[in-house]
Amino acid sequence: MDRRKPVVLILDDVVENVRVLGSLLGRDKYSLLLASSGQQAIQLALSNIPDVLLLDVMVPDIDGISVCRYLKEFESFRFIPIIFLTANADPKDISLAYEAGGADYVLKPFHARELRVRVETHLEIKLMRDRLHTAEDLIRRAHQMALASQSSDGTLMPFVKELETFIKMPSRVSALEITNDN
Amino acid sequence: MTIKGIFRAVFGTFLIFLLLLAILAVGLSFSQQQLQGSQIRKDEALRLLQEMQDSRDYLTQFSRVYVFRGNERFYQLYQSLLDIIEGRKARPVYLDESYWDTLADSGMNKVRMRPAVSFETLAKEAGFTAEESDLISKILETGRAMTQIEQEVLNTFRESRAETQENQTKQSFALASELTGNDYLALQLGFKQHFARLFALINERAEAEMMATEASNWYYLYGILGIILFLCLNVLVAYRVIVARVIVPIAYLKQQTNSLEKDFDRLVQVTRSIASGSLDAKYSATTLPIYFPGEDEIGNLVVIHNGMLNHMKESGNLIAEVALDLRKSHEQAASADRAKSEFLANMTHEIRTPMNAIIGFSELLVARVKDPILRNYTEGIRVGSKNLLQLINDILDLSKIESGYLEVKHTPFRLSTLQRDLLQMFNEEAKQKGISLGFSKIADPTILIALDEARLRQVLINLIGNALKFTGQGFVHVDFRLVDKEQSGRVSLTIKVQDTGIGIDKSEFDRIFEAFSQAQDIKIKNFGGTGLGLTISKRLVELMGGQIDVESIKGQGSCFTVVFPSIAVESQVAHEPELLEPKEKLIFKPATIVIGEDVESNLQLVKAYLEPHPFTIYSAADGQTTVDLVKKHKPDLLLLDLQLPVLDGKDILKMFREDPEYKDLSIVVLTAATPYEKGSTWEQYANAIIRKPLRGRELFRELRKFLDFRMEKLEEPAEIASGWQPIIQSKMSVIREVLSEVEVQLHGGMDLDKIEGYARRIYEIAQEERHTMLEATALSIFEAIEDFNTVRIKNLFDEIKNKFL
Repeated sequence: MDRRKPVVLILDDVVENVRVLGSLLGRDKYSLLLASSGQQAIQLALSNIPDVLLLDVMVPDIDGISVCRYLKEFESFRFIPIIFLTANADPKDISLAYEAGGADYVLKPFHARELRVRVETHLEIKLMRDRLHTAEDLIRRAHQMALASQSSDGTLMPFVKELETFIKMPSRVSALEITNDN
Repeated sequence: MTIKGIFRAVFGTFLIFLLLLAILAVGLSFSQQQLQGSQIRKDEALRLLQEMQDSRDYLTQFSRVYVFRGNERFYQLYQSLLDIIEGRKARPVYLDESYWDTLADSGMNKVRMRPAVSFETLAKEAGFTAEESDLISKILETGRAMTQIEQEVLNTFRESRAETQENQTKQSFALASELTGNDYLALQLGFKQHFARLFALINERAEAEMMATEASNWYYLYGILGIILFLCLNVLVAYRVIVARVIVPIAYLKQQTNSLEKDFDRLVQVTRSIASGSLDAKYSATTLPIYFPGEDEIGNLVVIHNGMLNHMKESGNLIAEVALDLRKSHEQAASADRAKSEFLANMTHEIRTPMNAIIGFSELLVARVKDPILRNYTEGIRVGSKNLLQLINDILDLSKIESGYLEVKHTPFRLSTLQRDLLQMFNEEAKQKGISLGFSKIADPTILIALDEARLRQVLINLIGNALKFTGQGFVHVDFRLVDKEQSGRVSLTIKVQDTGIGIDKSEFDRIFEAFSQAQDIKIKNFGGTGLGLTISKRLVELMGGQIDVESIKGQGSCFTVVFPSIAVESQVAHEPELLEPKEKLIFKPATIVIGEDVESNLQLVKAYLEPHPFTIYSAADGQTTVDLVKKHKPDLLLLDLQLPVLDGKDILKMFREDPEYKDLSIVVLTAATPYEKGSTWEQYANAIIRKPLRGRELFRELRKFLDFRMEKLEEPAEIASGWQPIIQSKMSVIREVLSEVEVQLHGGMDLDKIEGYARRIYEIAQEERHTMLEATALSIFEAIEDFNTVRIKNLFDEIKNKFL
């Protein structure tokens, strides 16, 4: 784990909100990217790949949910948490936000500590997921190496089997459902 | 009985009478014919008898002539005639000379002949009565007796004639005497007597018959007349019955129906007027129901009429009920509306009181806080709370306008003053944004126009504020044009606010004047504001008798035009104290002020404002203490809150004004009360009214009116531009490079770390070149970055760009 500050992208068209959010998170802990339009947010996100995005839903030009949908098309954004900020508490809109790939949904006006904790939590989840992906990769490689050396020595066989079982374990909810059906 | 039945009866009777009439007419003509028939029969009988009588006379004559003259011809005539009488020979039609000629000549062909019938037979066929027949047979007998005598004489004459010629005359004479003898004459007489008798009898009989026939004729006539009379009577009765049973009821019904129709029209009118809102309209039917006996067709109509009347009365009642309900709910709605407005007014008052503290203290804080970040935060609070206050005011204004509470007061004022205030108000903002703000000159600056200045100011502040808000670069121009109206002492005023901002799409022209429409347009949401400004402006302009319009080209700018077609003018002006110039400082002379204010925070605020000035201040938190303080210290000015415990501000005002000792005391009222209380009695007691939340500028503007002061010119601030010295070319190109990179960066959002890097490079250059202004700007950028104020960051970079490039 390198020691660089996590990068947070903030999208809000109202300067005051950006100021409040910025002060809340603080530049000492985070590296901040500020966007005042959806277009800017996409541009900033694609060129910097932030660790977490805070998107206001109601923005001129491209709204936050559309920005999220757009970014989630990219493989590199699949596991990057996107948190929506909005004054709109309509359950329909909330579910719309989650369906678009949002990780969280925070209602305005937000409490400073709560927001801070949420951002930290999602960053932590992201870090853990990154670690997990790296670990999976390592395991895959170990499996291949074990397979290659298995011909001369049969003692590795149970371990290879175990590794195979782990690799075949479903990693997504949708995949889990399919296996259950079967 | 139905009318149809009546008509049937009348018609039937009529027919029967007509039939009777026809029968009688036929009878009459028949009896007339009978009369004529009996006449003819009588005539025929008389002719026959005449013929018989004449024939007899001729026989006597012929026989006598023959005996005297011995002419054979008469004998022949005698014989022919006899034959005719006895029915042995046909007879001519007429008994005249030609008759005899015919007989003598036997030229039977020449004359029309009747068949040969004996008189006896004829008489029998003629239908005489028994008595008459009796007489006729006597006549015939007598005739035959006479004929016998004549035959004898004639025969004797004819025998003797052949013997001697000489004796003839003697013999003739003898024989003739026989024919004129007593016997013969007696017979002849009898014959004539019989005839006379017969004639008399027949005449009598015919007379009697005619009499009888005529009498029956008269009966027929009477009958006909009677029937005609009955017919007339029938018609008359039918007419009366029809009049009584049909025409009169129908006429009455028609009249009632007309009245019903009028009632119905009124019902419709009443319904309409209720529907259109005048709930006091009442309806009651004036038509009365009809009480007609009878079950005929008109009776049915009457039933229908009465039914309709009933329905209408019910409808009338229903409408009355509905109107009552409506009135009730209208009253409820009105009271609910009042309650709503009162609630709004109270609530805004309640909100204003704490807002007062927030705004006031943040104003004071801004002045005192030195730390730039804290200062930014404080400024944020101040701006936010000001916006909130604006929103509250806007909502209150709109609710007042909507509920019709807002009244406009046209008082004379100077347009030039308004212009100057507006310029002062917006100049700073325009400068900051780099927009040129211009006002057109007013031809006659002393002219006073009668409009509601406060409201016009509100509208223009809104329009100019919008123009500045939506304009990124270019200009905002406000054009005032007064045009004299001929001889009327009135002018028309046209104010145009033109900008080179983002503009408005044509399709939105109508919508922008609707409440909250701006907030729905996501594209301009980031410009802030309540979205009520234009709605309120439009209503206010309309309340003042004007009109507001917009023209715009998307992306090129907008032009809002306010037109007041007719405003009263007073061109003569009393001298007004000059308003505070921003470059002058106000210095008050020492004075004593008493403040009556129960809310601690408000009191502190007022005191803080007054603190720098040489005032002696006494304050009280309730009405009674305030009054005591005034009486004790005899202040130059009383600042009075309207709502005080123990003794209300309004009562204090009244008390002082009615007290000769204090009636000249200057009293400035502080109130959060809403403007629609204007015109209430306390208002005229106050020397001035300051509306909360309190602002320093407003407070001092009013204080100047009552306290001695002098103006002192402030020293001109040093020209900032002098600090922007040029910079050497090599560094200049670096700055240019940095700025163009920044521009690219800013276009695609802000990576604060990178931005900070650019700012640092500029800062380093500034330090190397000892360029204080650039250094200050770079520091401001750092400050803005720490504040995450993207707009300010952008503006600061733009400033550097403008100064150097």
